[in-house]
Amino acid sequence: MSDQLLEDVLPAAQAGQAWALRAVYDQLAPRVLSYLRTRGAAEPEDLTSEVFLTVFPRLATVTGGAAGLRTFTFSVAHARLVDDLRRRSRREPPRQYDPATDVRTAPSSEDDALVGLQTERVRRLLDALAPDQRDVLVLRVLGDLTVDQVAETLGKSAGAVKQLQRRGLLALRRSLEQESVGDTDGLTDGVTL
Amino acid sequence: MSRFDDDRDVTSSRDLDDRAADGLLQGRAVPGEPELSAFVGELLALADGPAPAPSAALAAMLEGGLAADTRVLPVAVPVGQKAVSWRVRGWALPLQLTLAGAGCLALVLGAAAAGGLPAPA
Repeated sequence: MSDQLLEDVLPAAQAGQAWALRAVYDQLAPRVLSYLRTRGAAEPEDLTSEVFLTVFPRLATVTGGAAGLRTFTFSVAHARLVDDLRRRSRREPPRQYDPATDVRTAPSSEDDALVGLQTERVRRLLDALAPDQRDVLVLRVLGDLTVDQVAETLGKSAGAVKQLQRRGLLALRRSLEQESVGDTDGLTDGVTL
Repeated sequence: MSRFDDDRDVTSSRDLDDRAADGLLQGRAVPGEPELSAFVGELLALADGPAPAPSAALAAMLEGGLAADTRVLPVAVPVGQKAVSWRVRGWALPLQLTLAGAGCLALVLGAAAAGGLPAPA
């Protein structure tokens, strides 16, 4: 994700020019898609389109250059994700994530299978975190947001975000250590070691 | 103890300072944290692919751009308006009190001049 490219195309995108909107989409959409996918959105591709359908008409209100654009885009993505998860939780009882039945990661080729397995492992490790910790870590990594930008996106203080990221990383480290020694404490349920 | 109880993290013998956390989350390899560095690398790699195919509505927007009447424009605030309004707000209450006081005094003086006030007891 190139901030310089975003900076360069932002004025034209704010003026509604198609080529610039496409450039913004090409730069940010893969990150938004990964964010929504790793956070468990039901239809991450559709939701990604919805995010940009919300963002583009409001581009002229964005301030702060590329960083402001990323913060705004991921704020919209987070809000859409929360709506999606809430809507689904009302409609259906929560189910344990099962990669074998997840058509979104169903392998259609060896590459897809590899990506599917990688996504599944990353999601499994992230799912072991508290939701707030998971939000902070994923927004910081995939959104490339600073502590202050994540705080703005989630409506928390910068101090709270720092605390959440530290605790999240420590919990993640513990999960990774358990995984590496083949600990079967819930995290590796159903996985042949 | 809840599923997400992380007290053990806080008391972990190997803590993580803000600088190391920032380095990790920005995708830099941090000495002594090979597992976390690798995990962040994996997470970033998931976003390496191309942008997903847009929905029909978004594809139309990407193809044709945005017409001026479909764009939400920022509300223009004239330069200095905030400072002026603050100044007006700052003076508003004392000004109102002064005017009210002057009005009351004028009424009393007017009534006195017209002999409309009761005589002192």
